[in-house]
Amino acid sequence: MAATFEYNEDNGAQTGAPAKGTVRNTAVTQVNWKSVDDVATAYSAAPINAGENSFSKYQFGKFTGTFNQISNGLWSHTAGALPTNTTLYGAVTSTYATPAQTATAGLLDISSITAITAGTAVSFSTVGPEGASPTSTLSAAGYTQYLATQARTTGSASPGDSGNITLTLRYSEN
Amino acid sequence: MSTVSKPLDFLWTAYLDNEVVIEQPEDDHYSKHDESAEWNPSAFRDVLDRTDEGIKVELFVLVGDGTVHTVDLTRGRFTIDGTEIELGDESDRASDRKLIYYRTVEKDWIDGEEQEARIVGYSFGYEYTDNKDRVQKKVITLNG
Repeated sequence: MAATFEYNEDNGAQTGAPAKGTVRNTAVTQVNWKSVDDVATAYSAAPINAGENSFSKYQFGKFTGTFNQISNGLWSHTAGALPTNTTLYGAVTSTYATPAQTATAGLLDISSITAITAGTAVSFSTVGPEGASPTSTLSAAGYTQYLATQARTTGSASPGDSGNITLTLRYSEN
Repeated sequence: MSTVSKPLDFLWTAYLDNEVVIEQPEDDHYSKHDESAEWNPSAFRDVLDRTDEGIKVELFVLVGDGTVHTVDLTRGRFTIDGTEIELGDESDRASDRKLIYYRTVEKDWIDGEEQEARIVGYSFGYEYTDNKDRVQKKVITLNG
């Protein structure tokens, strides 16, 4: 038996201090960038117009189950290419901002493939992804920081689905 | 929600200097496991509980897939499926060696869909402080 891991996603206006989403969706099994800030709407029902961005997406991991310590968190775009004139931005952060289609500050272009061993470091908190003082290890039930992403397009972006890409989260457990 | 659903490829056994032997159960449960709790320490906590009391791990053994791998913390020596390996331990303070053990897990989103977590490595070894007071780690990783 190992740690139990579940993706969650925050949506809606930022609330509280430190800020988090008004809505916390649990047991999220997909990530699709679209023109609406929620989990449930199919991406086909909320396409991104060429020249616009997706809503920023704030996902994170929750650890429960059986483990002594979680450590060495890393996150990166590890496979697959985005279409021409489409870029994927992302960041590991403890800061939540109300999702919007405007370019979210603080995200970096992660369209290029990066080996997971060179991925962005992920810290953990027992408070939540918004925890103000995340640490490099987790020794109780807890969360990763936010894995924030946003797809951005130019007016020349082609219509239709993008190709497959892989985002990877790596961690150590014992 | 997901976890690594397949059984662990390698299970460990820790031999302590008080002649106690602790074996990792297949469910990896801590000896004080509480079924009602959202989170429990793993069986590795049983080893750390002893080392916190000053009891030392002398030998740590990983067994799986028909192979046996060991780290002897009294000598700073590994064996990988019977072949002894030494990773340049120059410590003259052998009693300072502290056990390292962890599994590396990866979770992918592929084409927007969550994939099952998978173990990509089993790492074991030790750390010690060398003669220049630098922390050195000697770790071997087996593919998961």
